[in-house]
Amino acid sequence: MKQGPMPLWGSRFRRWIGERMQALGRQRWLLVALGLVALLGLVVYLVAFFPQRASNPRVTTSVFQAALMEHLQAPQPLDGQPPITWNQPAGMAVLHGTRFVLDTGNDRILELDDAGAVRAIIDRTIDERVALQGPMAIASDGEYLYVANSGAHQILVLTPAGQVVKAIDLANPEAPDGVPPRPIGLAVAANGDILVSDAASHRVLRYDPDGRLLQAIGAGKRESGTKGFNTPGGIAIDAAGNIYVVDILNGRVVQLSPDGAFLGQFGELGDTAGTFSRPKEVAIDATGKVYVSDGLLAAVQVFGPQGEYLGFIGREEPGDSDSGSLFRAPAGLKVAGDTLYVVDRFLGLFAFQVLP
Amino acid sequence: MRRIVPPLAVAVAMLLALGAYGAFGQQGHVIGSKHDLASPGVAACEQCHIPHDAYGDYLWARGPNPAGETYVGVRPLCYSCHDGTVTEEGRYAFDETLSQHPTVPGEPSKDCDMCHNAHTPEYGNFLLFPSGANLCRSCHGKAGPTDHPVDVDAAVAPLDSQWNPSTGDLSGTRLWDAAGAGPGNQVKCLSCHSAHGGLEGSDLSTMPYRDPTSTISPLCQNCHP
Repeated sequence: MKQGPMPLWGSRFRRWIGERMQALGRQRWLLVALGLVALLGLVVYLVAFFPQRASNPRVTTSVFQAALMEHLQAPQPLDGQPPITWNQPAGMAVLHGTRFVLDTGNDRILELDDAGAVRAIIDRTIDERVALQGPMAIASDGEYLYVANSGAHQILVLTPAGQVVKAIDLANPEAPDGVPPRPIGLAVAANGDILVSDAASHRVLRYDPDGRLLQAIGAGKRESGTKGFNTPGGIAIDAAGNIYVVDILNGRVVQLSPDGAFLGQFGELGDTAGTFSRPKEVAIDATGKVYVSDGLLAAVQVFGPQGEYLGFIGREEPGDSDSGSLFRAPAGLKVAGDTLYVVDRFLGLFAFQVLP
Repeated sequence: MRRIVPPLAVAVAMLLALGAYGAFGQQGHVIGSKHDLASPGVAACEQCHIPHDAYGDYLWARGPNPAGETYVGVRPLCYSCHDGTVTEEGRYAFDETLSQHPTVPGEPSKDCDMCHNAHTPEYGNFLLFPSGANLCRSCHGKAGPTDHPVDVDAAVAPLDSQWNPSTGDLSGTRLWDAAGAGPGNQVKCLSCHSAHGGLEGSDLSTMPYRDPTSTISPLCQNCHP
């Protein structure tokens, strides 16, 4: 091993540079000029690139104009009754102009009057078969209420008064693979077919009005692309009968034809405009606009019929994307006429005017 | 000198890798666990972490903080699945009508992550330590000889061992296995207390310790009839 101080990297390098510069002679000024141009280029790049990055289309940048018409953090009590509240409500349906809120945490349905007061409570005191266990979705076909009774693996069909018309047991021997479905999303097609998102088998199941399993869409395990769903959630059906399914953990909305064939999809996991963090429910208005609630982004994103991003709903100041969110955990959606209802699991019911 | 450089570099690289594993290398624990929510083409990490425009130090996907400021940090992320959609398990932990263990919303290691870590499936319920055995004591001190014994086999089975908040059964005492990960025959802190869904104003007891109309303690009586 060599004795004495080791030659330093730096001094060797400087000597090497010096020798090269000597060899270059007058060309060294050309080299310095080239270096300056490169430095200038870097400065221009930084100035141009960084503001662009900072203004990436975060979900906070494009507010969709929707006037907040009503917010019920809790319903009004029945006349002469003690105050009433809901607990982690998950959805809402409208039947004959009346709003029915699914009070998931209390295993009941609250019928509201126009002023937001509770007109009736639908639970097992009305009909003992209304044995709700953590119900996660509610829909209507214009005549009856359909409830995804998730913990009991069944779909309940109810009259507006809360009488059970039908209790469809999804855990019957026809259940796929014998795994009891856990229904968390629900829609009723024009022909009466019931479409159910089954979080247990990662499939969308189609039942006829008598509860016979007609179709299972998906792979029976967490899938993506055209093969199936990771966790299917909210379901909506547009005027043409096409089916929109929120695929919660794939961060997308899947479009299916009326007979269940894959048509397309939009969205991916993320938290920028048009992407989803935890999409939950979907609703479609008369003009074909698609509304998707996102429990983690605390917003409802709005898309055109082809999935083009139009903006989002849910800021305290409707024109200020940087103002705080109106929501904590937006979930259930329902469009009725020109109104979009949003059910927040902690903050209750919101109503927005979304159509002129 | 040159001879020792390669082994030295390898050693440094290994140390760095170990450090990186300690800090960020818990993916392996998630894969195959209940928190492995991946599908083909969508990685397990993506469900909770995103590389750009994320929220906080852990790159969580998150919108702007709600005005209330009581629903920030890791809590919305946990609830985004434990709300009855992706899973029905644990929704009761977010039930604001139930007594819950105190937390400091938005403070790292003082909210859900006080007791749970989404990356550690080893001890059941993604707890930081085996439930009841060490977890409570990590903050509440060690039970001494003058306290009710814990971590011992129960002499008698409780009258109500069906305590199961997921099905809405929030009353009763329950015995645990030695690790505290599931049902067994040992007395643990969680035999009498529940972090989620205990009785109001009773140190989160699962049953009333005192009954104002009775000379008998319902909680004690459950195991000591």
